[in-house]
Amino acid sequence: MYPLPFVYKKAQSIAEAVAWAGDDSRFLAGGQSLLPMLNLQLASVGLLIDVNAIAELAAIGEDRAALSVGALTRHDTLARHATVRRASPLLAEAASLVGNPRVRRRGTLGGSVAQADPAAELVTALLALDAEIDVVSPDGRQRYTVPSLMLGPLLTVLRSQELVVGVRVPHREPAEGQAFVEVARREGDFALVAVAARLWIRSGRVARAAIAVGGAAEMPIRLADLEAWLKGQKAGAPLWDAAGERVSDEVRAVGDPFAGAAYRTHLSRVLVCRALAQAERARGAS
Amino acid sequence: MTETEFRLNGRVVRGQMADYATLAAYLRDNLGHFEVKAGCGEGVCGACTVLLDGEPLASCLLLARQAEGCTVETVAAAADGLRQALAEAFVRWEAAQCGYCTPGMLLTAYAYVKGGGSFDSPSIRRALAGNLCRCTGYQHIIDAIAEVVSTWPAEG
Amino acid sequence: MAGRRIAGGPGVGGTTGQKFARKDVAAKVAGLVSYSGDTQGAGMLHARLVRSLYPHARITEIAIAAAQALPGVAAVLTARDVPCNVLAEDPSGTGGGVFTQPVLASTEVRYVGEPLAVVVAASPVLADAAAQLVKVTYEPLPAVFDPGLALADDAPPIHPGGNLCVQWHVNKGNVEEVLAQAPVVIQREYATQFVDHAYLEPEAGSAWLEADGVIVIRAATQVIEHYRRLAGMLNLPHSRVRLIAPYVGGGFGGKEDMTVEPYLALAAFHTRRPVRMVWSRQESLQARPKRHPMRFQYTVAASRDGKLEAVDINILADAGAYALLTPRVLFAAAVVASGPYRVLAARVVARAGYTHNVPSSAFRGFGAMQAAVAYEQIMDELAETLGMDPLELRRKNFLQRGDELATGERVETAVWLPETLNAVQAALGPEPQPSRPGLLVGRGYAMNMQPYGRTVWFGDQAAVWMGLENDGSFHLRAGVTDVGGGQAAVLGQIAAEVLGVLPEAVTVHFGDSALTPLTGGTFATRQLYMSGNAAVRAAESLRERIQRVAATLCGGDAKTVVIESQGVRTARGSARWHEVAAAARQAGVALEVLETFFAESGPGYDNRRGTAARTFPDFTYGCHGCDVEIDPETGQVQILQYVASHDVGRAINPLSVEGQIQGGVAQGIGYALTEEVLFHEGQCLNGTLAQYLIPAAADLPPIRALILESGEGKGPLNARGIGEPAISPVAPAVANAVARALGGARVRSLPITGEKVVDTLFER
Ligand SMILES: Cc1cc2nc3c(=O)[nH]c(=O)nc-3n(C[C@H](O)[C@H](O)[C@H](O)COP(=O)(O)OP(=O)(O)OC[C@H]3O[C@@H](n4cnc5c(N)ncnc54)[C@H](O)[C@@H]3O)c2cc1C
Ligand code: FES
Ligand code: FES
Repeated sequence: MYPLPFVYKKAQSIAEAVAWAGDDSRFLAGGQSLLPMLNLQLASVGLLIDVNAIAELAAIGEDRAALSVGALTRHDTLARHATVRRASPLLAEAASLVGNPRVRRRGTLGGSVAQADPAAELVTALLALDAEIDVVSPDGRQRYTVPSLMLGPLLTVLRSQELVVGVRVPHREPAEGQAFVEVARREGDFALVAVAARLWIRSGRVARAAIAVGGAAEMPIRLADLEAWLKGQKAGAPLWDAAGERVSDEVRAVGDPFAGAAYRTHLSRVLVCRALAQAERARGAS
Repeated sequence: MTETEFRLNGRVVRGQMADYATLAAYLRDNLGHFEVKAGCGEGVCGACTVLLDGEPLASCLLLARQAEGCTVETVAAAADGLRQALAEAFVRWEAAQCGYCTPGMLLTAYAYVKGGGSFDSPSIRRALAGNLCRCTGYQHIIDAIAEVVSTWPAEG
Repeated sequence: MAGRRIAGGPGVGGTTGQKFARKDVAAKVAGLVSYSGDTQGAGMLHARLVRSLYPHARITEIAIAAAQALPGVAAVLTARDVPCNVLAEDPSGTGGGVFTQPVLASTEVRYVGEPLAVVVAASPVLADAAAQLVKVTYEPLPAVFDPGLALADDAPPIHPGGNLCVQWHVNKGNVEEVLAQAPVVIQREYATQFVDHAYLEPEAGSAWLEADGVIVIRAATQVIEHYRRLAGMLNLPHSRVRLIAPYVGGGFGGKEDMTVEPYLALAAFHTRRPVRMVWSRQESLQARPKRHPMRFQYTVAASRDGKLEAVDINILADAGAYALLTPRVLFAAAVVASGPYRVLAARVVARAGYTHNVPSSAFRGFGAMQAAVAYEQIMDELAETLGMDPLELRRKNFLQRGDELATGERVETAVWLPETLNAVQAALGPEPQPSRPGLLVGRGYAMNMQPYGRTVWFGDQAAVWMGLENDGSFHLRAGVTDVGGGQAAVLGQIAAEVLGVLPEAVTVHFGDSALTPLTGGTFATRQLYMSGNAAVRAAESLRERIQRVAATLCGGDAKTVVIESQGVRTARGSARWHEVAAAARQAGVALEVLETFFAESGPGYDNRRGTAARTFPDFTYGCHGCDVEIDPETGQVQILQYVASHDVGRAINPLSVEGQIQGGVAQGIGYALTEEVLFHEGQCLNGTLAQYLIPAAADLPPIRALILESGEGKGPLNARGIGEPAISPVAPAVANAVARALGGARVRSLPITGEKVVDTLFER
């Protein structure tokens, strides 16, 4: 149970963390993905920069446009925080489904984003939420979206000097309903498929929809065609069923030893349908 | 190797710790605290659970140096009333068979009850989701915890 | 949800039959137990295995110089360093074949993960680094991963004797004839998968050399008798190797074959220093023996009113690369293949083929549990064909005392199939209702019969030593291994019961091949039966000696002597313990005894005719039932409630019995729904606990254990074994409930994943 040797340093500020970073370094946040990989010797690193002491990374705040969540926010905090639950119930719900209680107590939003697991609940949620991801590096500040950040399974554009500092998520609007649903093989596991949906309904018709599917393909994907197709149509169960039927046009599911591509596509269809129905119901609720 | 200090079961521990040593490995291999078990090294089984500043965490997913300045408690720490009550209930219910999951299980249960957890079995099951047991089927563990929750005076 | 005892036992007094807190549990809860990997000593070395990366290859070179040269490396050992590099066994006990396996492979590897070299270094980190420096040159050879293909004519030979590891026959009556005339005949196939024991304690241990030259291995093992094989490997007299098993952190059969023991012994032998070895979870999942995947072809004939007439059964198992205990596992499957039912005619052919997969071997349930997957599903399918209630069909055919099994042997003890079924039916209550529209619910049952004890031709035996101290406390010494089931504690409880003292008065010393009398390993649900009976004898014989001495001391009849905490008493007088001890010394009576229990023994199995006068000493019977709820859109199966009932003869410690049943059910549910070690060309695809899914608390329903006591069993105080029986009916009970919920659509291969459920519904 020993990782290959490395040097450990604890940063007190963003500037310090970024300044120490180099080609053979990694940031250590919750450690819930990085330490298993190091322990199993599936990864190695020269310098580990602990960012857990950087208080400003853990802040949660909001302005008129958006909720801002610090990268060091633990999954558990995200799931329970009153502001988050009000401003972005979808994000809170997604966080409550990550891993087991111990993992949620320690794992972080920034870590989840940087880890870029194809089935990560939080990344799927952020994708549906059109979230912006703030990153600091020696070159200054950068802002990404999930699609501009993700390259593939466990792969992002982030260089080792780039520290995710926070995420901005637009407030849920009054006409908007949100839902997050998933199927996992065991309580506390990564989802086989997860779906995040947002739905705006005006006068009984879909004004706008945002749908993200995680776990099915090599990375979480937005169903842009389906979103466009839904627009203007009469909201209700028949539409959600019809929407489900179109999911396979856009989801290029990949199979693995745990679930075949066909089953993942099927689950995507079922879950999109359910997420839309649930988002419709969730509209009034705040 | 770096000098690091933390409180372990009420005592100050100060020592040279390898930067790459996990807390689980340090507690076991350097301090002989074998009541901290190691079952997977990937955060899944929960056998290595310790309380870090009162919170149950996987000590295999923490570096020893991250405990700097913190309070670490294992199942061998002096037991308060609640810990005692749980230990007794575990014995009464025979909630341990091989016992390998037990230290982690007990600490998770302790934090659950202390945090005001409810006695209904679905809530207890969710709280234990990160502590695997291969022997008991969890039933006696849940029975023991439920019994303590329903008899233990809630704090505050 | 506590279990409930239905019938009381004979009630001899003492603590048997009552809820009784085990001493080891208190120590475990306090974190005081030192397991095999819990050792750290000055100068301790750390050993690591170099394992094969290929399923089948010729080894042309193992270059160790670079590893040896690394500072801190004490030794790099290969086949050349093993004095006798063969482990041999005759696992069927019938002389049917001796199987061999190298300790360290040198010229050819037959599965991924096969050990090639042992690296011993000053720290775990150094051992890892050195292991990386051992360069093995492989010449890959054609490999075969399916036992069916392995038995084809053109398959690459895995062992010189061919690829058929074992073939068992059971024959009764004329199957062809009955089948030809039977009014109803159905044929079905079922399949089971590779699963892992996944105990939480990894394979671990340490070894050192004593000043007198004895090599001591302290390891997580179910069988301390392996010391003889270790001595053989080192070419040492048996008396020079000592194997100690502290409390084991879970075994379930996975620590029945040797794991770390030979490598630790080698390392200590060569370095003459204390050595520790702990396997990682990935090593364990990749390379330690698994439960046999089996394929079943069942043809069952019945009359229209549901009388079973004939069964024709073919079983094919994957033995993996080496035999280990495969012959015995297949034998158990063959013996119970027709289930706890009367059949006029039976024909069973059970074969295992070698492949280049990881070896399969012992795992709780030991072949008999895989067979239950088939025989209990086909009962439901037959009932469906007959348009009959599946429970009525079972009741019509239940085996009864005095009946003949397919092997020709007679059932002598109580067969409480109706009783356990009634108990489960009553406890399950009204039929389940879906928790919301669109979900499907179903209830399923399964019965089982599971042998306990070894087959009679092994001539099994177990010895227990007991002695009295001057202060009235007792020692009990027994070489049992305690894998968590209270195997040690229960002996103290039994002895206390026989002596009429409190269990606290008896201290049990266990698990040391040099210092405790050998009892045989903890497997085959034999431990309670064997060493429990030995403990009864030892306690009786010690009691008799105490009574004899007491009678001369106090006067009166020896039989009337009462043993109390302070001493002994008769109608005429009393004496304190130190007085008893003194009187015994004077009279030349030793207040210590060694008693050996010999199991019922019998002639070997007649595999040509497929019959035996007796196979196993006895069986444990039971019934399980559960309700499931299925989301037909996602295929997810949730178990709503689970009830399990067994006739355990007599429950010596009901809490332990309940725990065994609940734990067996949980493992069985994992087997039924989520667990499968996936291999692709021998490479494990899910070698972590994050990917190999054993059930967590939140995945399981409340599990109720209903303990029935017929008062008949061949164990001590009429108990029957319960360790293995508890797991056997689980998967078929779940499968039957799922099939019910799906309106008869059935997933015939385990595990029943959401994906398979959805596919099965689609096919309809
Ligand atoms: C048993 C178990 C179950 C789990 N189940 C789930 C699950 O169901 N769903 C799920 O989504 N996840 C699951 N996880 C993973 C968990 O959510 C992790 O917390 C998360 O993926 C990573 O967050 P972390 O803070 O722990 O990151 P770390 O492990 O600390 O780091 C992960 C990676 O991100 C980098 N990194 C961390 N923080 C930053 C930053 N601020 N800026 C730039 N790079 C950074 C690190 O260098 C590293 O490469 C599980 C983990 C475990 C152990
Ligand atoms: S050893 Fe830490 S969670 Fe398993
Ligand atoms: S008691 Fe053995 S793992 Fe829980």
